[in-house]
Amino acid sequence: MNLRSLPLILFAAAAGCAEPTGAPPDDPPGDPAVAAATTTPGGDVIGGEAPTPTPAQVAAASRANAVRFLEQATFGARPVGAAATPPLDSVEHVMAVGVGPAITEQLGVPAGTFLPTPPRTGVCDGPFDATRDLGAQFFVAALTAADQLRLRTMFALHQILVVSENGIGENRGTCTSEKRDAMTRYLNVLRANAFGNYRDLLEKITREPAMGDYLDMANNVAFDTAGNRITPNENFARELLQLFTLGTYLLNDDGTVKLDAANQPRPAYPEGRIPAFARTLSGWTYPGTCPGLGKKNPATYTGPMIACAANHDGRASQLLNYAGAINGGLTTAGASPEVHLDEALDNLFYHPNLPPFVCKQLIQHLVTSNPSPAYVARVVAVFKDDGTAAHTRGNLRAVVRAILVDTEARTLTPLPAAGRLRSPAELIARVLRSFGTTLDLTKNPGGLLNTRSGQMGQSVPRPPSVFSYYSPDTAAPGSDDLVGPEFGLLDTGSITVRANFFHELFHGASLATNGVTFDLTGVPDDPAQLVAWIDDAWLHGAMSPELRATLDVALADSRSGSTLNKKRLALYRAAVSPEFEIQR
Amino acid sequence: MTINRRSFLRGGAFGMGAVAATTALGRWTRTADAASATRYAGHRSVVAVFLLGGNDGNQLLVPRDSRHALYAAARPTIGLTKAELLPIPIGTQTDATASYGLHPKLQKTQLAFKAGTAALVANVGPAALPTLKTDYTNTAHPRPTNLFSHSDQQDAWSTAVPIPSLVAAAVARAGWGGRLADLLEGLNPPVASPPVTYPAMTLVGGRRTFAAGAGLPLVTSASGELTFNPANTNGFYQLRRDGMADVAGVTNGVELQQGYGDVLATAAAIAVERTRARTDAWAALASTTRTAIDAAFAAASPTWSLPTQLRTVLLDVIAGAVAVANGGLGQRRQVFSVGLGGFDTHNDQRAAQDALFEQLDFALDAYARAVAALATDPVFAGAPPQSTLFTMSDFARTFTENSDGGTDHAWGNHALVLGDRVAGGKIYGGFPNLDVLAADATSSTTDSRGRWIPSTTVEQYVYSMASWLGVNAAEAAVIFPNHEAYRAAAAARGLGTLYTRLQHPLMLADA
Repeated sequence: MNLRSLPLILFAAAAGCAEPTGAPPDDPPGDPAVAAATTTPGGDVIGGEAPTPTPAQVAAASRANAVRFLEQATFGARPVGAAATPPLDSVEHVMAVGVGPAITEQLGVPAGTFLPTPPRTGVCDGPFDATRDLGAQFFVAALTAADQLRLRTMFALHQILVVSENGIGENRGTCTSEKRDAMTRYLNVLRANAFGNYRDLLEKITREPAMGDYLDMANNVAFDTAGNRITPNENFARELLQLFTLGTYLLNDDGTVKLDAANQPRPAYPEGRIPAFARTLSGWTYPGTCPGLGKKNPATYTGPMIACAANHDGRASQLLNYAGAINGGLTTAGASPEVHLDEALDNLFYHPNLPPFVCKQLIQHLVTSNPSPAYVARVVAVFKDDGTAAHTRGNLRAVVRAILVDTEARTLTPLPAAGRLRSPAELIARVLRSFGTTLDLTKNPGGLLNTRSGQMGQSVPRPPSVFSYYSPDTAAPGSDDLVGPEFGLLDTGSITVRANFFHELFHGASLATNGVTFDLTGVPDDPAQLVAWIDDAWLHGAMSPELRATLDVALADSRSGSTLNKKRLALYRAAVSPEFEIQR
Repeated sequence: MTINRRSFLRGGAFGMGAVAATTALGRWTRTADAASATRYAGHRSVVAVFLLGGNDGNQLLVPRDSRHALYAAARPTIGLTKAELLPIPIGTQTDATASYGLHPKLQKTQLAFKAGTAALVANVGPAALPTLKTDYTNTAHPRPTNLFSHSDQQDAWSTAVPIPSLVAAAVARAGWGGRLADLLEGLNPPVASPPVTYPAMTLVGGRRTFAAGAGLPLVTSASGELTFNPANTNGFYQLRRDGMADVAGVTNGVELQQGYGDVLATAAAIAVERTRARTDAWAALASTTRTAIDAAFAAASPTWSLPTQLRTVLLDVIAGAVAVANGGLGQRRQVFSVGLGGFDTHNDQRAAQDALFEQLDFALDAYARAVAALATDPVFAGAPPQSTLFTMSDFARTFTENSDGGTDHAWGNHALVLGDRVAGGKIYGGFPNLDVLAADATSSTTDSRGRWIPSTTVEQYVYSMASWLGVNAAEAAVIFPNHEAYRAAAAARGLGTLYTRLQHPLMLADA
């Protein structure tokens, strides 16, 4: 059978019950304003003819556009409630000012910070302040902080430039929490630099002591105490290339894998370059004064790591050579650790793989798991040149804007391949924000919410490994070609935990007990209006007739009971529905 | 309802023909051919123990003969002395004069080895074609994709596909555990009413790719919980629960919605029945059996995950093995996966790996003793469940240590198999040449750090366990798509039985 013919069957089926998307038109070649349709090896059309939103759509957003935009740019629209002025992250405000100005406003909100954990008192054997747990603070911020787009971007960067609190050592002999000191600094660096330059961010995270501890960049000495050359640890070097900058395969600017004459992917770097990067990055240690030859500073998290020339392998190393590589990728013989760090990071930053590798993941975290190659290419073009007079490369502020204003983000008729599964943290925050939830910080509400997120597989900021909570390459279940990164956390077990969270939310007392307070009085009593509320607030007006039918049937059933129980039933059913769980 | 595209595509990929449109529930029901198992009337299972992060097998199995000097020189900081090693009997490997020892934390494993219920397999790893050092240095010779990368090599072990770009996407995305389960499901009667196919693959931990097949695996947390709250069945909750399949089926032709809906439909269909069976089957055991099982796991440290996971597996084995009439599910063949993380020991390896080995040693032994306790339980009427544990890991680690008292990513690794149907007390396969500076003709390493080029493939390692579960040669060719090409290449090059073999005979013949 011809596998490539199958998507047409799928399209035919889809056309009947969803948007009349049909087959892609013949796009004029070379017109960057129109996304070119692309067929994956499995035959799915994953890009394409989504109508370009008019300037008016971007400027004065429709209600649906505003709800969708706030799903992508924040942790969900905030209801106006009793506020005299609609907040920046409310649907009403975005409708009033338009998407473009709303992005500008969000980019201008000052960065919030995560607070440090006070040292324990007494004999230092008590618990640390649970409300200062970074996961607890993250959920409080996701629900209430003003710098929503920044937080959303930080959350994406946290899953690309991964340090896990689980991987930081705790020194039991001190009154302080080293894990928290390290992660507070690290997450604040990501938050403060979320709209900065990726090259600066790379250098900052490389020198963060949290990263130094997590991937052994700290105390990676090139000599023993007798001055004999020893083999530096390859851990940070390998993951810097594979996960933070280049990935494993050579990529085109549109994020697709470059294939050789035999149709096979090509490695992004030769294996032998890993030891060369490890040597080039040797000699860094925790803050303080430089220890002697072959010696190491104890782990401290009071500032960035420092360079110690005595423990650095100063030889010239051959890093990656590619068209445009500075000095052919050869580092300077006899240079300091600082110079070699710059050379190593420049070698990666200017590599043609970095823009598509980073941009595609940012799109996946904010908008859609399977962006069309044309969408990736448009964002990559901005990454490579932000359009300013300085033609800056790596300007994340410009990249984030490009992701959000793109036709593929703004279209109200997304293609069948569009969308992304909500990650646990986003799912929790999205639903709670829709009710105008308030938090009693004395009861550590963030702690409970992070516990629930953890039960679904996403305990912030504790991904199980440097490969994060899930892989960007996770196959969507049942699909031969689409990826669904967040599906890395979805299985028969975790899906019950997700559903059980909604049961707890609507029927349990533990959220209120832990300071998470909302009521459903803002949700209409009348069944028809109730369904309309769900359609508007959760599905930006895109509820399918089939889902509407299941809600109507349930609400008409005598077992649905009281007005309150009817609300609970409809909300639960919609919350676990594929239509809501997939952000589209 | 949507077109059953997945089964359709999968049918094409596996050459099993097309399947017509079905409901959302039906789409995860597996369509594979029935396996041919008739060899054992009772319940059989294999349990993959995935040592995540790349377990350093060079510390698991260490020579105690003259080669120990090479080992000690490569590992001045983390090396084990000869006196620390737990000796395993001489004469248990191909070279009758060689002598080996196990890591000192593997005391229970050593006893199992001596008792003949544990076996070791030397230098196993993914390879698309037979690879000697001279092949490795030839850049035209195919290597596993992204060798030395955690994610890629976990997948290579999980899929038995060393180079995914050379096979259909549907094959590259499925694990050999999932493919094996697809073929085994034909042997297992459906459960519940109305009847549904019970997933033959259950993943409690490890690499998800391993469990991916044509059908969705059953995946649980370490504790085994898989329940939609509340258990209450009053009218309201019954209404809510009954609607789950309808909601799961509304997917609008959107593939990601279908993916989510499939998982929801699967969970909703089996959650109640599995939870019930785990309780009822446990209660059907003799109280002495239950006491013995509890005792086997009692000494586990509360911070350990692996004993918890294996206890969950054991409860699922019991639920699966006990007959329907006695409250169980009456299944015959199942595949399980558990996982233990923390093996990426780039620094301070001894502290980390020693603690993990202690946990591993305890957990494997506890599981084996619990299975042994089932052997005499009357509920199984003389055909008690049989279960085999085997390890997988991303890769081995460099034979030479790094400047942090740790080791870095490597390739061929030593593996452990344990169970009372294992042809144990032996080391299978070929041990690498530990001289990292040896001339190419005799070298086993990719470079001077000691990254072993495997002489046994993943397929040769695990084939006998798939066969033990009942798959025949034709079915094995589906599960291990690269196996015959590798063997044919080895035969054409005259590389000898180490490379041409179908399998290492790790399992005892059936009586």
